[in-house]
Amino acid sequence: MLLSATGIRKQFPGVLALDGVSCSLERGEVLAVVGENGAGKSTLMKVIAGVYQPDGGTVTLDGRPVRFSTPQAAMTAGVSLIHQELNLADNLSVQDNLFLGREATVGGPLKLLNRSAMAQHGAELLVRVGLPTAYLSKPVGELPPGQKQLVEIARALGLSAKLLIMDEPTSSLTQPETDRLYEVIAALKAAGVGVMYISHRLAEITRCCDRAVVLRDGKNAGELAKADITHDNLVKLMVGRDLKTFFPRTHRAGDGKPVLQIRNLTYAGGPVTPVSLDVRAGEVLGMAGLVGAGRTELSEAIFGIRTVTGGEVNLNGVPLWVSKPADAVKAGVLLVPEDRRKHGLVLAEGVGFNLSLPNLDRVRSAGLVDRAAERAMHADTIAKLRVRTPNAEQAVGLLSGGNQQKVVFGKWLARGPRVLILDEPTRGVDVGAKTEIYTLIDELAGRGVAVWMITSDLEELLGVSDRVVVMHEGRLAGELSRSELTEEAVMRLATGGRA
Amino acid sequence: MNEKSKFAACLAAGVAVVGGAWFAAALPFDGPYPAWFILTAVALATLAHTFEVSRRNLQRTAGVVLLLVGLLIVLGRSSDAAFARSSVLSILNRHGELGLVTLGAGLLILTGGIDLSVGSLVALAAVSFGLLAEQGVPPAAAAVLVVLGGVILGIGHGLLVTQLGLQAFLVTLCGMFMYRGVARSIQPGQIGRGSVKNELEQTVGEGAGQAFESQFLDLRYWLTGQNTEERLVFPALLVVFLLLAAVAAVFLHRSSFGRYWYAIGNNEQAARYAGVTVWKHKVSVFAICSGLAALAGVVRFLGAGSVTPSVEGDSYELYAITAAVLGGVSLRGGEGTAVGLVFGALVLPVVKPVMNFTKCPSEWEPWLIGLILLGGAIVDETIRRRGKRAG
Repeated sequence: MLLSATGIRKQFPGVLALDGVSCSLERGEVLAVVGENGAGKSTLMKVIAGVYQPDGGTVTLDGRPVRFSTPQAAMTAGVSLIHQELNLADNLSVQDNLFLGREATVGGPLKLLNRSAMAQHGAELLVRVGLPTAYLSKPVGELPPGQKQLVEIARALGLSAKLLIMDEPTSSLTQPETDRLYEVIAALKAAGVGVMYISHRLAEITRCCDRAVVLRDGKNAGELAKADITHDNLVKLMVGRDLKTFFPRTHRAGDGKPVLQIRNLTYAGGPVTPVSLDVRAGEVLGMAGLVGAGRTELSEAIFGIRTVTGGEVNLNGVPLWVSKPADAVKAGVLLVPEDRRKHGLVLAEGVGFNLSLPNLDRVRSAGLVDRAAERAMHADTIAKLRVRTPNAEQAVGLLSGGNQQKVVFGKWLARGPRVLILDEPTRGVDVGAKTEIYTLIDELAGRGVAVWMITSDLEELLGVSDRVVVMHEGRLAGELSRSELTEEAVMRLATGGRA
Repeated sequence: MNEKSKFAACLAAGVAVVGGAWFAAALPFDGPYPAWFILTAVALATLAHTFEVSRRNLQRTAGVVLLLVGLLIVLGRSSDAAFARSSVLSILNRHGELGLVTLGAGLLILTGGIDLSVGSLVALAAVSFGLLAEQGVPPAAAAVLVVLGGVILGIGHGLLVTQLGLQAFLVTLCGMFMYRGVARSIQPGQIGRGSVKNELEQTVGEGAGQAFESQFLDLRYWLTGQNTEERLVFPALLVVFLLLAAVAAVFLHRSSFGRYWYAIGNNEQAARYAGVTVWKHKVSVFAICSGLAALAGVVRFLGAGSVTPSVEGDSYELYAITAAVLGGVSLRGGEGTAVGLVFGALVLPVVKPVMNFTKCPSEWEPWLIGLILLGGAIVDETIRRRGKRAG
């Protein structure tokens, strides 16, 4: 037995995050830890990795009880946590990052670096995670997210990790990067390293894990052996009930008129080939493509974040001039951005503050904010979207990912969107909230909103979209109608193949 | 309680506070009481009314209030003369003077900016005011022109920061050198009421000098509260500051501008993605900050009677930042209240008389100020951490 945690309790002010949770892991086993946001997965991982100290229960590693007071202590003992937000110094090279804080030196008072020893050892580590050794001298900031993740894993291996804990490792990875990660996990497994794996993507869990532990409200909700890991079983344990329709499609208005027409558009930082695209009323246009295919960039050009250099955009047949986001917002072309913590929300401020921010022009009288009208709007949005928050003053950064995303949606609902651009709308959102968001998207489409959804989650793309366009290296590689829509067809187009 | 009855309650409290202070300072002041009395009470009521009583705001102002209470106790015990009328009046007026620059610096820091040119701009504004008067511009008009000039310089700062993408620290650091340099170039030595009057008498005529003198004294009376015998009869400067602070409070806590400023200070990108035209707001706040610094320069000239460009307003930008931080504005941006700024600006004006009355050598002043700021920052951080743990 590599790791065994029994009866772990962790109390935060006002919340019992973990209430007697137990789990165990053998050498060379991949254990999925599943649960909705707030179920206690991340807390459990952090307790095991020494970020938090448990209020009760015991953790044993290799049969010996351990109590790590810091993440560093856990790392030295062979337990490494790979965070959702990667902890790499972007300005330093891969090699510097691999050995950060434990550089090899040639000794002496100056602690001169032993660069050749580090280069040799670093190259071995990169080979183990399948990265080219030439990357050692590359600044980490130049690597795509998937490769950064691999660098983090290599760093953990350098500390002779026995147990790797990965918190949503694939949330920002493309499909090929994810596949590469699975290969690395398989190799680690073969080498006897234990892996604990948190993910929201059920398909991944069924694919790479040996066993799944399901948490619900800070308690063990059940455990599934490899053979029993199915989508339905997991969801049942996670939410404690059966979910009827994961992807509701009851409100679609059918084939509407084009609301947003993009003609021969070129933009700063975009491809040389102009892009043309229609988004129609009452449909969800899914947009697929690998990370870096230029999907986010195109949406940024429409929303006024990037400068448009040529072509035209029409909204309901009338030319739309957007030089800054304020213009797009005024016209009803609204964006739910990919990075909600950076672009979507003012995390330190309350739920109400965030809901009001783009809507102050609607609750203003004589130049001042009508606070009664404002409060009514907050209450209305919070109820409508079922945002789980104690009150409208709660700092939005303290909410779970799903509830944060509902607030980002809520900002725009009051404005009555004409075109709603969703960039990875359910990233880092738990299953329950995902369904609520899909229902919302369905309702919006039913009201005649033209929804343009950029997503890397194939399951979501296939489930929600009425029509799909695939981007490859900045241009539209092809369009798929609902009847032609399969995972294979999407991936073929996304990787540059033909439909 | 609805908004109207809350404001009425605040107004009653404001009247009580101002009336009580007036009474305690031994009736009567010589001055235009009714007008100032009402304005001060309204300003205080507005400040109180717009102050959101939340845990976060209370935590951010608790430290500075405790510090002030402590300092006032020390001051009261140090000497009987400490709370004499003249001493109190001069503290209050200094509060108003520092308050002007604190208000501007505070709003700017709140939106994520910084202004290091405040002190030099005070000097340039004071000198420009004198030189304009020397050219025969009536003092009131000269004051307006100087404030407008400050606003224009502030817009310049804002445009350099938002359009060219320069850092506010750098732009205003350059301003700090340039404005002081320009002030010393256009007026190498001291300039004052006497020299302006003499110049006017020589270049224009006896009448012009007399007219300047009387207009100057009028303006000085209304803006600083000094009567014709150079005696401070009521704290006009404080009233001016409180009125401006009340306007700032309404902007910050009740208008959409304030919301945008907090959002910009916290997360400029999120504000932009929400459809806020960020650059316009940033430029406006730079303009407000420099305009208030210019106004402070004018009242320095009025109050002191003469200014020396090489030392006038020295370190004011740092005093303003100190006061703003003590008042609960976070240098990280997005945090702070108008009431906090009013309290923060009172600390340094109280420290000075405390030192005088306790016979501390004046050489101690810099390190004492540093220590108080450090102490305030530590207390503030401790309170906030405890608050975080509890909630």
